[in-house]
Amino acid sequence: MEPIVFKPKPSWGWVWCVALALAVVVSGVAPLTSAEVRAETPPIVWVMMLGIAALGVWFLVVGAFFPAMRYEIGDQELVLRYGPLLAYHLPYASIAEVRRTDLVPSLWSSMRVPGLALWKVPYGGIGTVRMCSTRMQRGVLLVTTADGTRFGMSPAEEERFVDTLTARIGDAQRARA
Amino acid sequence: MHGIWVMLAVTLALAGGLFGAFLHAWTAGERGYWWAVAAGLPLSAFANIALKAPLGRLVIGATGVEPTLGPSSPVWFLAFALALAPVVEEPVKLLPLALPRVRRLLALPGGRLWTGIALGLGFGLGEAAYVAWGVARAPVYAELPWYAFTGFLGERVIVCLVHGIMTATLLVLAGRGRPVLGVLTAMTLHALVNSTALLYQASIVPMAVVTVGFGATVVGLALLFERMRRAEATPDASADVVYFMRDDDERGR
Repeated sequence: MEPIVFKPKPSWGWVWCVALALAVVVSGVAPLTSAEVRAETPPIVWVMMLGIAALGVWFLVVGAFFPAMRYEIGDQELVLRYGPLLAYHLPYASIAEVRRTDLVPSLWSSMRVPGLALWKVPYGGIGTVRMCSTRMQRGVLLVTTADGTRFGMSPAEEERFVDTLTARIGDAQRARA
Repeated sequence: MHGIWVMLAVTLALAGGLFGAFLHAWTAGERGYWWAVAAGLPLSAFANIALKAPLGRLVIGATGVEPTLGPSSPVWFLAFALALAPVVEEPVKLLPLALPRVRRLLALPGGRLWTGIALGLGFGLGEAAYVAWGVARAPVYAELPWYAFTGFLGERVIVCLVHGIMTATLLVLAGRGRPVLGVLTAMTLHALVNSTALLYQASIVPMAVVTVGFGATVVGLALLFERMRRAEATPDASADVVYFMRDDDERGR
């Protein structure tokens, strides 16, 4: 059976990715367009600039896949997907709790900007949450598995999503019983 | 137009946008903190023009010491130069607390931490403008393109956060009944942040020491911020909506 696909809530998270890419390019690469600066730049700085340019490209790639964020409710599992960059598989039998909550952001982050949070993100009070969400803090749908792993998401049709998900969890429970 | 003004605009947009967005998120959109940011904006210029410059002139005039820092500068003058910014700026950053609208923020949950961050952010943004003004007046930089000032961008964005953490440390410690310790800690942290740059200015250490020292201090301050944030800002689960919870028997299967 084809999985039921839910889109995330809309946000401007992709704009932050583009802005970060621009900031990285402006701060790291733009100076090298000056002939005077290039002439005085040692090789190690060129290597660093390559790394910075790669970081800028990475932010652009993350921003480009923003429309590909989706939540798939299949027969056996919930899949959180961000294009080819991220896929979290949550078997229904492993889901222990589904809760809508406000998270407390910390200063550390793998990838978290207003309107977009991806991969493992540390939050105050509850520790690391695996995020695939267009909300980085408020109104995050938090799914906790039996081993204590937490996943954050933000489906646009939250009520229908939760109804469908809890029905599938119930089916899985009955099948196991 | 001088290139520094373009880079100042980029700096204000980036630092204001980035830290402003996080302040908004951290404080659940409490608008009062923007008053603290706004009130902090003119304070760097005030501290530099009205306090630090006359104090510096007074000491130099009274002692006849050579004002340019160098390896031959007397130790007491290096110490004076190092202490001047922390001793003047840390108290000045607190001036907006005279406004009732800002002072009431201290009573909010985590209010001391976020008020400190907001005051420091405002001070840091204003300081970026003040430093840019100084750069624009120096003929040696007049011909440089705007993108030659990326060092200014990186340093000023980080300094906005650093100012916030120092003021937050002061307010959090004051809130725990230790205001003197708070002031001394903030001043010491401020001196620590400035120390390697001052030693470089005096031609005592190379630029590599400044880079490593500044980076290490910033990381240390970030760790301190996280510690305070965990202590001051606890998650509020009262508004949570639980859609599904498996009972313990099910979990144990």
